[in-house]
Amino acid sequence: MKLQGKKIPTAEVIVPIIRDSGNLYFTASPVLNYDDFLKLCPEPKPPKRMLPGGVMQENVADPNYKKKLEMFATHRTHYMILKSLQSTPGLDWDTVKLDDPETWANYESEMRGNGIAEGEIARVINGVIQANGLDDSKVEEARRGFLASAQAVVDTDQSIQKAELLPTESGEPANASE
Amino acid sequence: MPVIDLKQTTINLNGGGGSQTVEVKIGEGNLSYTEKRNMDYIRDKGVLDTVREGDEEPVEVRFDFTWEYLTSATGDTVPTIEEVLKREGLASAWTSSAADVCEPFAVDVEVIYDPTCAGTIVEPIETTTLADFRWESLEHDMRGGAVAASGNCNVTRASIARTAAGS
Repeated sequence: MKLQGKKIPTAEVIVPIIRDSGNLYFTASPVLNYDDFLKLCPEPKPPKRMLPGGVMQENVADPNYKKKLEMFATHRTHYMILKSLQSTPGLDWDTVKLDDPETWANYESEMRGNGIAEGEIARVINGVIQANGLDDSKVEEARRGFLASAQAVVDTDQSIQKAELLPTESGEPANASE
Repeated sequence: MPVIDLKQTTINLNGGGGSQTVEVKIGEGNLSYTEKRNMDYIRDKGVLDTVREGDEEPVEVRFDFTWEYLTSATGDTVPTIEEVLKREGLASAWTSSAADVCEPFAVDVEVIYDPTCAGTIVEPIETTTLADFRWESLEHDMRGGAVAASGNCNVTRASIARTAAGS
C-alpha cells in the first residue's frame, strides 16, 4: 500500500531517560496486530439471556461479563505497552513474560524498582500512545494543520480566479466572452 | 410469614452441580415462605406442665411472579424455570440439590435481595436460601414470562445471610 505515492513510514517514538552516567533510550513502535494477544486473551463474549417468549439475547449488562471485559481491556493495554517497547534495543524484563498475561502488570513496578521515576514512566507510556496513534492532541493538531493547508490552497485558487476576472483597460472583463 | 418484595431481587434456582444455576430477574410478584413448628404442651393432672417440640414441619414456599429474563451459569443455553423444576429439556442432566439421590429431584431457591440504589447509601445484600425445594403445584406462562408455584423444602428453617454490597 502507498499513500500519495509514498510508502507509509513506521511511527517510531524515541523516549530519552536522562542520566548523568549516560542517557538511556526507550523505543516505542506501533503494534500492528494483536493476533498473539487474542490467542492468550480471547475477547470475552456476553452470556445469553432468555426473554419472555423464549427469545435469546446477549446479556451485555451481566456484571461478570463487565468485569471480564474490563480485565480484557487492561490486559490489552499492558500488551500494547510491552509489545510496543519490544523494539527497544537490549530491553530485558525480569518478571514480565509476554506469553503470560498475569505478569504483564509487573512492568511498572520493575521500571520503578530500577530507578525510573513516575514522570519518566509516564513519558514512556506517552511515547507508546503516540507510536500507536492514540494521542488525540497530536491527531487534532495534524488535522488542523491539514485543514489549514487545504484552506490555503483554496484561498490561493480564489485569488487567482479573481485576478483573472479583473476588468481590462477597455472595461471588459478578461474572460467575459467565455 | 415473611413476604419478600421481589423488586430489586434476583432468584437463583440451583441444582447440585456447580454450574447448574438459572438466574431469574424478577419483574413483579411475590415470594412467601412459612416456617412452622409443632409444640406439644404436656399437662400434669390437667395443669400445664412442660412443653416439648413435636414433629418437624417442612418450610412451605409459594411464589408467583413475572420474570424479565433468565440467565444461566453456562451462558449459551438457558433452561426455563419449568425445565429446571421438572428436570427436563436443557435441565435434564441436572443433579438434585439434595444429598440423597434416591429422593425426588429438588433445587435450592436462593433469593438475593440487593436494596442499594445507584448513588445512595450502600446496603448489605441479603441472601435467603430455601434448600431442597420440591414443587407440588406449578403454573407457567412462558409467553408472559410468568410463573406461579408452591411446594415444600426439606428443611425446617430458611437460611439467611447478609454480605457487604459488592462482595
